[in-house]
Amino acid sequence: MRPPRRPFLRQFAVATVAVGVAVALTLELAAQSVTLTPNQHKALYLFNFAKYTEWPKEAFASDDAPFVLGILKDPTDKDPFGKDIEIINGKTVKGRKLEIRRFLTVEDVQKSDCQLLFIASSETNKLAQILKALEKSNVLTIAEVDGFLQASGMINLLTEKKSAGTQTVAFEVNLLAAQRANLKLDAQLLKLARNVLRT
Amino acid sequence: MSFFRDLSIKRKMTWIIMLTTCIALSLACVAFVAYELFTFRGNLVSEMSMLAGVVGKNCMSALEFEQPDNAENNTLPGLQNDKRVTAACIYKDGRVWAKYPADAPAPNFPAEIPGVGHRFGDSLELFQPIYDRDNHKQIGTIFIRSSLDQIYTRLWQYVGIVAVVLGASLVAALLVSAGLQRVITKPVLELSSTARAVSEKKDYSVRAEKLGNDEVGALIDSFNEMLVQIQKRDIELQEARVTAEKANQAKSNFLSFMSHELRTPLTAIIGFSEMLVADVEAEGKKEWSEDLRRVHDSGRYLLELINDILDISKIEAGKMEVHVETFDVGVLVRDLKGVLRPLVERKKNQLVIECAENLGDMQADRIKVRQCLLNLLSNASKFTEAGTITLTASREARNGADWLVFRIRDTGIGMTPEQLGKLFRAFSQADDSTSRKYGGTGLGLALTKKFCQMMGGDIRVTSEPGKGSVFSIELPAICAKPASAPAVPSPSTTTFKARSGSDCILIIDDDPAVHDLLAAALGPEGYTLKFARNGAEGLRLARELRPAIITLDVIMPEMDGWVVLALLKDDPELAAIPVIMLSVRSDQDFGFAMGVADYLQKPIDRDRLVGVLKKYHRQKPASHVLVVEDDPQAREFICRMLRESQCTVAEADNGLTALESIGQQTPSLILLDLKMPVMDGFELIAELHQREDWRKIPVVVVSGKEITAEDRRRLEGHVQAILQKGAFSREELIREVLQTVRQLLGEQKSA
Repeated sequence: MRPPRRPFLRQFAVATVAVGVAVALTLELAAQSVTLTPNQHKALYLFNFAKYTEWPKEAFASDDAPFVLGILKDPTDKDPFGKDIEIINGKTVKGRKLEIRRFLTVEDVQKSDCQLLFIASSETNKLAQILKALEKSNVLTIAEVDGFLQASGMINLLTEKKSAGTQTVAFEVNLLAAQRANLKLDAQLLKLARNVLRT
Repeated sequence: MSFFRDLSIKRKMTWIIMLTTCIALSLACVAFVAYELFTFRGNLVSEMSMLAGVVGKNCMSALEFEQPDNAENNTLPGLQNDKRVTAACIYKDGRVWAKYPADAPAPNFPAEIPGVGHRFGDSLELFQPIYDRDNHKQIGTIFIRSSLDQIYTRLWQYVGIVAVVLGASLVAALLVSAGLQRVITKPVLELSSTARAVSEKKDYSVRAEKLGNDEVGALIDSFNEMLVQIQKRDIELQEARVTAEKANQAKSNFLSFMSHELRTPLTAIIGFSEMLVADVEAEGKKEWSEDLRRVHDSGRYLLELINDILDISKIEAGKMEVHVETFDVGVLVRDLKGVLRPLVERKKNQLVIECAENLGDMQADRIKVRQCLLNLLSNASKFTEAGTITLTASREARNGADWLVFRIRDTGIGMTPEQLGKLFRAFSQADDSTSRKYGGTGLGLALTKKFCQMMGGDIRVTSEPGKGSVFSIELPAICAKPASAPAVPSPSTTTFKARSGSDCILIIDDDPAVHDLLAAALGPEGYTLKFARNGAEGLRLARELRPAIITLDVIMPEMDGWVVLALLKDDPELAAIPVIMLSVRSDQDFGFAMGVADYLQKPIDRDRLVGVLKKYHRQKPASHVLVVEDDPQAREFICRMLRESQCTVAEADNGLTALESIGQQTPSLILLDLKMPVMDGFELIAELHQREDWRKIPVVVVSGKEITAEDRRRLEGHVQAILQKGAFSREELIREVLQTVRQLLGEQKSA
């Protein structure tokens, strides 16, 4: 069932091969550049969460308001991502420029427009208070803390050890909390979650 | 192709229909299958790309979150719902990122992405990009390999269906064409069978049945029209043939009639003129006798001419018949001498006849053989003056069969090679001056040749001008009977054989000169002569022939006359035969004592011999003979002859008067003409046959009518002999009549 070779097809094949080679080369280059650290990985996860979540319109101050990714941490604690967060800084999400801001208190968060908040492990003790404060605001809350979801956190990152000694990042979701915050999590996202709490 | 050419139209039609159907159906089926295949492939591609789109979309987040396990374990296994998919994978950054089935080895998948799109190989391979959620950036590529088994399965199913449809269609086409082709072939076959019937049975009355008004119909019309014309022409031809046959029949009848009507008066002219010549000569009126002889000769010539012309016309009409009989060739040849004597003597010629001893019997048409020899001899005599004509007869064995060869040599004027060339053509003599000088019609030789050929022989001639000619006739001793002439036992055969009976005179003499002398003296008197050279032969012949009279020489070598006489008288069967002694010695007393009837002293006085012979013939009691003949001259002539032979004669001019005469006095013999007014010979014979006492009366037919084989069949068993006027000269006819009469009367007597 091989089609007979004709000049047109041949040209097409040649062009296809050329394009394929070019694509392969670029991808190869990209692959070489993307040798990600666990933190960078986590940073990309944050970016992807932004992509797979829908915020109500009133979550943004204006149409050209940036998409704000906040990191809430104690000033004494070291930065959870450090410079690795820069990998996603300035990227575009939902037509808005992604902006990273650091917050020290939950009040700071409430005062400014923030759509996605990563809560560092230093805040573990104040979790209930923080989450209570943000309950009615349209903020997707993410942390890497055991029992985060039980405390009404929305997405909890998990670090899993694989057989070859490498680590992969996974996550679990509290869908109810997200719905309470008037956020819609994409089904594709839920599919990837290790665990989805719906009550 | 010649196989096809020779097929019947019916078969051709069927073949054409089947082939056409087959080709059309095949083309349709191929197109259908090709279209189906094309559609299948298109459908497969669109279904697969849809599947790839869905699966790709579902793997989007897994790709973005870098979770191949999720794709392999959750999304890709969904493909197993589609049995066509044999393998699938997702490429990310140019490498295989997730596989289906998850445990498939890497070589199952193309190492490189040839680009977006699909390709058909042993299976369908389809590449499709996967885009990210927001900005539609390609984040990976999904590959699906789909088995074509389903397509092939379908394809085979289609091939099967097509085969079934094709087969069924062909059967249907065969059935339909078997019915429909008759529309074309039936008229053609009808026409063909009619044509065959016409040509085989020659029956032009049949017609082909027309079944429609198409071209074949027109052809059938033309054919029938043709038959009509042929039939019409046939009928016309038939009528023409009937007319022609009638005309021919009329001509034959005319000839038969003419032969009778011409011969009867001529016979009278010749007969009476001859008697007148005899009378006038007796009275010494020489000047009258010259004129009378001229009348007689002219009559003879005319008769010959008529006979020849009739014979020629009979031959040309294919009506000449050959009547094969068995006869003694020697007798035939020696008899010629007496007949020809006047002719030979007139030109002062000498006729020498040399017969080989072993001539024996011959089976042929005696009358024709005789006519041939007479023709040649009279011809020879005609063109020879004061010369010698020699007839040599011999029997020769050639190619296992016996042939009789007659050679006639003359010392006459002879012929040039030129003249020889046209010798045997009818109506042509050597040249015109010849016929003026020598007379004759020139028919004789042509007839002779024809007769010889009819009897399976031929005639040849060599000649030198001034020195003479030699004609040779060669005839097979046993002449094959021609198919046209059925073998009828010829009455004349009986007559001929019986002639060697009681009426003949046996001459026993060692001197051949005496034989010739007696033959010359007694031949014209109507006696049949048999010759013996010595006593032993004489006794043998006497026992065989039972002669009426025996003449016996006294002085013979070995066994003298007295011994022979004693032996004759000792034999009770021969003792009654009167013996006349002929001797130079005068031993009359001794002779009478020995029982001889009479004794004549040599040199023999002819008249006395004739007188003595007549005396012993007269000893028979007179018989009553009825002559039935419509021509008065012929009747008168025959009656006179019979009266001279001591018969009482009654006359009748037709069958009815004959019956009256028979009623008054039953004759011991009837001489009957066939062609007569009121009641002809055939009818009379039938009448005679009705009466018990009349049935036994011997009948001898003497007729101028041509006796055909058919006539012979009718007469066979009812008459004792048939004598044809045309076949004999007058003298011969008279001799035949008298001999037959005497013999029959003699037999009656002895019976």
